[in-house]
Amino acid sequence: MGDFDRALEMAKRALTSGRGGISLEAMILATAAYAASRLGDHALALRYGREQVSLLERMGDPDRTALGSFDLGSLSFAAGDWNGSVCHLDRALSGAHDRLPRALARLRLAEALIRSGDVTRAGEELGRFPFETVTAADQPTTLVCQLERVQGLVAAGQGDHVAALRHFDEAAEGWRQLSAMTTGEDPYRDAFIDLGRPPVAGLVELRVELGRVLADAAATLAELGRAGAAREYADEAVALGDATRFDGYRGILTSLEAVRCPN
Amino acid sequence: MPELNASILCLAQADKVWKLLHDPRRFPDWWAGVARVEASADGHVARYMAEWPDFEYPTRVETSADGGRIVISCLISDIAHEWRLEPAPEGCRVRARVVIPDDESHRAAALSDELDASLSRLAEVAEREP
Repeated sequence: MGDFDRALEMAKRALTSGRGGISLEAMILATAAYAASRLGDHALALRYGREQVSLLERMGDPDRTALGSFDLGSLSFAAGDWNGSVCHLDRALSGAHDRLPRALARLRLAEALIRSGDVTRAGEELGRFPFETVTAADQPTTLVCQLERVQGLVAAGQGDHVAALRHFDEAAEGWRQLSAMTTGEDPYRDAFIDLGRPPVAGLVELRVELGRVLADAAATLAELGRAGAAREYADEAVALGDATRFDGYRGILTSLEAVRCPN
Repeated sequence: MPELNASILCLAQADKVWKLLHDPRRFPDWWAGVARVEASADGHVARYMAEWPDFEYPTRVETSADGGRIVISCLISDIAHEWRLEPAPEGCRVRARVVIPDDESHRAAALSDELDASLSRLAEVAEREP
């Protein structure tokens, strides 16, 4: 529904009630972490994420602990802590955990590696991606667009801006088509059923993702000196960020300001 | 139920083949006989064959947790195409399995030709992708 303030408030209330046992508490922590992350309160989100992992470790369930590490990697990613994200996602992917959205985790790891400056290893992770199991929690209809964007980032990291823009444009077109479709799919419901708990920061929102790829494309266009096109992409990315109340790509938006208001 | 199995070694990187398999918009580029594809309102995919351009074949595209397969099933005939990628030093190996319901077994020879043509085309298109 997108009411993250209310979701966070209810999760906090549930946590303070102290009823339901350790398993339920871990699920509520996942919900609270997701809502806090989505609202841009990354310190709080990471605190809930760490508490969740700590609880899951105490439960001694390796599959759920791997999911907790994926959550923590995603929360760190949203907070812009790329090295932390790499560390947690590496940990999540280190075993053969059936319930983990492995394809999504592998893509997110590749992007965190690019953002941390390790383009070579990011390329290696992309090479592993096609052989990963894909489940409903990976939100499979969105994976092609996500893969395109990460391929674009790798290309940009390798200095091939033309290839990068081709990937970004493919991804943007894909997100637009997905947004225009009225399907019976509900990513939140599918992820909830598949994981058996809220999807936390792993949830993919179409308009947020479109804004993200437009921001990346704008940055690449600006590097190529195509200021007019960069400005168009940047304006749409900013509008999408405003409409979805998403501040998760704060760093990119800051660079977009330079594109929007050139000296 | 009758089954067909085939595979091909593709010299392209696996991610290029993966995208062609997982993006229904790209089916007409490699799937023999598919003229166009549309997303249906209910989340399924509608395939239109070159032979019957106005007839919709409702199709379900599913991923399977069992070994990373993608299963593309015709909802009229229940014929299911399963595709799987395996790493190979030169690129990747694409494995395909077609499960044919008994009622449709008379189409096995035609489906075998379609499968061979589609696999070759898939590898060719992937190898040409920039």
